[in-house]
Amino acid sequence: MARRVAHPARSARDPSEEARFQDLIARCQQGDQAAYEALYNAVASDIYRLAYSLLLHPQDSEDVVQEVMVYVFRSLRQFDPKRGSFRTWLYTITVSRCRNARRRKWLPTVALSSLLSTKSEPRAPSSQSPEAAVAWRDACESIERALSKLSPRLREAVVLRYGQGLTYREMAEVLDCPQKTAESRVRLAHEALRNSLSEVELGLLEEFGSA
Amino acid sequence: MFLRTDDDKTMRCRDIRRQLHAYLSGQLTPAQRLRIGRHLAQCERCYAAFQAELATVRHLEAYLPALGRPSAAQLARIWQNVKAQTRQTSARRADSRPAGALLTLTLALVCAAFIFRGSLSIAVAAPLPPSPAIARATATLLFTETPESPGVASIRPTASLTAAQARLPSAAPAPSARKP
Ligand SMILES: [Zn+2]
Repeated sequence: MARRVAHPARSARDPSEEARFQDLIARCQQGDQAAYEALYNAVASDIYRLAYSLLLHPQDSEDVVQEVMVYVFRSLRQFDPKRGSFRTWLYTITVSRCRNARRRKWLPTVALSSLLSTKSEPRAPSSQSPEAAVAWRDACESIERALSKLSPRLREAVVLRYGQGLTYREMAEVLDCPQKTAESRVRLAHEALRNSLSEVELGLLEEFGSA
Repeated sequence: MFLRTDDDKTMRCRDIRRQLHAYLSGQLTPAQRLRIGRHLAQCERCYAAFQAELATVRHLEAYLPALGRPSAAQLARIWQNVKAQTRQTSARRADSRPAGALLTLTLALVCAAFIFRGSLSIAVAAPLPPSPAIARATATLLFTETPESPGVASIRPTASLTAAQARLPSAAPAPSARKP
């Protein structure tokens, strides 16, 4: 596979990160209490972002992070580094729990009204002026609204790819599908997102995307 | 003749556009990249499609990593719940330990009887389906209050996790369940 486009998000295959995870896991298994908290701190934010991007609901996302971490702590011995990275293992569990959460509780596909009442405040880069912060939030809302219109499968693909910076190979692992399928889901998600974002919204995104 | 060239071009354009996504994400061979690059240089409509695709990628790369960033308060709250929940289940599992131990003992006795008598009938008669309780009792992570720092929870793995843990009920697939 050729080199992928440079991405701001961390790759799931960062070797130094994986080494650090291995070290923490080993310490957890030796009963090092601080290692559990360190492991949580290393991954919880990414797990939350993933859950939130899939469920678009703060409380449900918190529940998923909690379930995932409890499961992971109990199952550390089951993690086999030869089969894949710790991060892809975490994401596999998280995606699975999010699917369950969606089944448990009906979440509308087009959820604007509920999104407006429950969504977490998108946080703007701290150096921005109040006007810029408002514009940033509007831009985030339009992305969120467009995401909410995607089918769950397409949403998973685009969120893993761009929200978490996974390669298609890693996505295939997490989603348990052929790599070609992962690629075509991302492509379909692009088309759908482009169609659902209005011209105004695209202009708004442009303003920040290029900044 | 004219019609046929037109069809060829339409087909080529369709083919190119289908590959734009792969082109942008660096999935193509140098030869394929060259072919697409040449086409984009001379086909306005495909170039416009390329620009649109590029803009979408930029937007997603800029915004998706920022979506749903949790606050420190949220993360701290979840951590407290994780600790509490792990401690709770550990305590419950510890309670079921005597039953599990009894079952293990019975199993050992039956096995011993089987070995001594060399009789299959005893083993068949043994009323012992594999019990998930055994697996649960051995697979425990325990958060305990340390006496020297009351109120501060500490994590201490108790009995080691065993192969029996693979039977733990769970909705999430274990890594071993994944396809290579
Ligand atoms: Zn063309």
